[in-house]
Amino acid sequence: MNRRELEIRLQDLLEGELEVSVLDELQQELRENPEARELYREYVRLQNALQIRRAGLDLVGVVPMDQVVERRQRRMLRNSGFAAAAVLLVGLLVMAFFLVREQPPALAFTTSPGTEFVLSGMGGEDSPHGMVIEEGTRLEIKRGIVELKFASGVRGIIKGPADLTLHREDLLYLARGTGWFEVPEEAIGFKVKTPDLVLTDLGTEFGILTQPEFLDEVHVFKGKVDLLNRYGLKKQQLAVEDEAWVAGPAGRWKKITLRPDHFLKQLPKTAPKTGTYVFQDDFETDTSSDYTSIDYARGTAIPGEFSIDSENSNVLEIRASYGAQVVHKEATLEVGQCFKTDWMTQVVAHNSVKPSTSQVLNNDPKGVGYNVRLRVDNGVFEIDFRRGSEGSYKWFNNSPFTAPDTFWVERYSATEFAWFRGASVNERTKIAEITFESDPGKLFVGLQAYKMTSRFDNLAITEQGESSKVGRGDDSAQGERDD
Amino acid sequence: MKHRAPQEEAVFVGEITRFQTQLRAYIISLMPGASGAEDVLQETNIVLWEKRVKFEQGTNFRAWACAIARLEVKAHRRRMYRLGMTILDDDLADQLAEPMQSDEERPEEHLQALELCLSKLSEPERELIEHRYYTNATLEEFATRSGRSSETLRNRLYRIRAALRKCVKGKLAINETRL
Repeated sequence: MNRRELEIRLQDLLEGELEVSVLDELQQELRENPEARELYREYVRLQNALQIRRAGLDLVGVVPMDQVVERRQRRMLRNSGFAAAAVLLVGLLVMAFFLVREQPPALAFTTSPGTEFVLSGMGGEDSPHGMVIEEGTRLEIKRGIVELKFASGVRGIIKGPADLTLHREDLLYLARGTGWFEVPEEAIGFKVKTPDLVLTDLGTEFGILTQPEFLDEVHVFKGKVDLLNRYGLKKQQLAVEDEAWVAGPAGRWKKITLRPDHFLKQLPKTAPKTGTYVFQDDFETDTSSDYTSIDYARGTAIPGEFSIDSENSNVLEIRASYGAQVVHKEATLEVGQCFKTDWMTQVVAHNSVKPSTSQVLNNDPKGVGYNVRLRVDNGVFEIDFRRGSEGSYKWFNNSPFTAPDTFWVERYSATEFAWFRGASVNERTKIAEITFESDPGKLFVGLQAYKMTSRFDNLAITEQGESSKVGRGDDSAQGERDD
Repeated sequence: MKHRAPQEEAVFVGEITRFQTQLRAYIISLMPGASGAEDVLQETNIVLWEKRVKFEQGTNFRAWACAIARLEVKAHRRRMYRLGMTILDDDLADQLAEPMQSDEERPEEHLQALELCLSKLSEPERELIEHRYYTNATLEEFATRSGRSSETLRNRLYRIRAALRKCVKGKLAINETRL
């Protein structure tokens, strides 16, 4: 490799534009040639200086160093259902919080009942606008829903689990979460940044989905937005009304199905139902010959076929090179109850026949297989009976699955069940109704992954109140939609 | 929770602040071309702050901060890997980044030298650099606006960056002679 080629490839590498085909050759040159390594470092320093020079713009907004102390002054864990917040004050310069604020806050937020969150950095005081967030402040939503109101007029609804930081009054960093935003004309130019993309609003209403290890999605409901993929080819894309795009790993954009049901536009007024179980670490694994038997160890990689990681709060990830099933050892689905799962699965790459993810009901957590399951097989829904269970089902809406989605299975009676999809009780749509020929008895809830990594979030069994009857009450209307 | 005296915390903040530019370069050297460097830097700062009670004053802050940054980069690399992005081999990235921790690095001088070198660029050259580094617009848009092909602009960017690198190196060498 001559000097000119080397310089060009180093520049390409640092710009994220290096062709994969020349990576090995460049790496070999760097290993063997000390001058090439020094040249690399010189370009790193130049790149760093050029980016840092962008003072006052995004990069510096990320780390306002004079505020490092102040930012971390206060970590607050608060359940908004209680008036008394647990407030930890750390260190010095607390006075900074008591400065008189003359202008409306850049961002204020309110939460739905039962929301749990942690605020790190400046802000947190109650104001007439809600709780205040200053620039540089991070808001982690453990569970629940938060409404954001920007001074500019931008409004957002964020579903937890989520993690966001206000970088600038017109720039929100969403590290994780599902967000819907409405941007008035005077706030055009509002930006949302995620680990994968930068979205610039051009006057609109849109939703963003971002989850670690899954590709980010943008859904535009009104107006248009400008999208920039932060990786690879860093392609730009104009997304217009009724379009949805996913940020591909190579830096390109791919069109996907628009899913308004992923997003909430209003803050729910009621807390999640009491009697909700959040599953974290008490799953039993399937011991059938179809699936590998394991002793479940929390957060530990298990040699062999699959492992489970539930270290993140109420998120269960099953990494299955073959098949894996977990069944909750205590939670059974009684009449009038609902088992809800956010399926975060997105098939980034799969190389085997029919990878699938399922919600399962099983009459014995230590037994074999399942009695009935809803399976998503390459985006298509299937229902299977097993273990000698017989029954029938009727589809209402089995249009293709686009991850992530929320699924619910509700037990109407001893033998009657229904599967739904949709972000909330009010938005859910019936997928299918199933009827066992005979009472299968007590059914435990569980999840399956086959030849793919599946991620499940917000696992819960909910006692269904009046609102849930919506699902059954308007069967005909929902049934007609796609039947 | 263990607390430090305010003056000790102030010293610690001073250390973090002074080290930002260099720490950022160190992070870039471990994950060249990836766009999450600023996020990794922020995460590193948060971890540094949270672990401040564990830091012994008088010991090597740089080495400690770089070790934490390296772990943060590794976590980020796992994600990049899963998403199929181009990344350097682990051992090579470490070898390349290792000297970037050195106390002989002079990041502030780099910034000053870069200012001088940028001032020597022609107006169209400076515009191109500013477009590339200070806007989110694509090269294609700039090409349309300036009436040049993207290919021409791309080649020009190679030349300008090579010239800037050489110029900055030269300025730093002069500073060294003066010392």
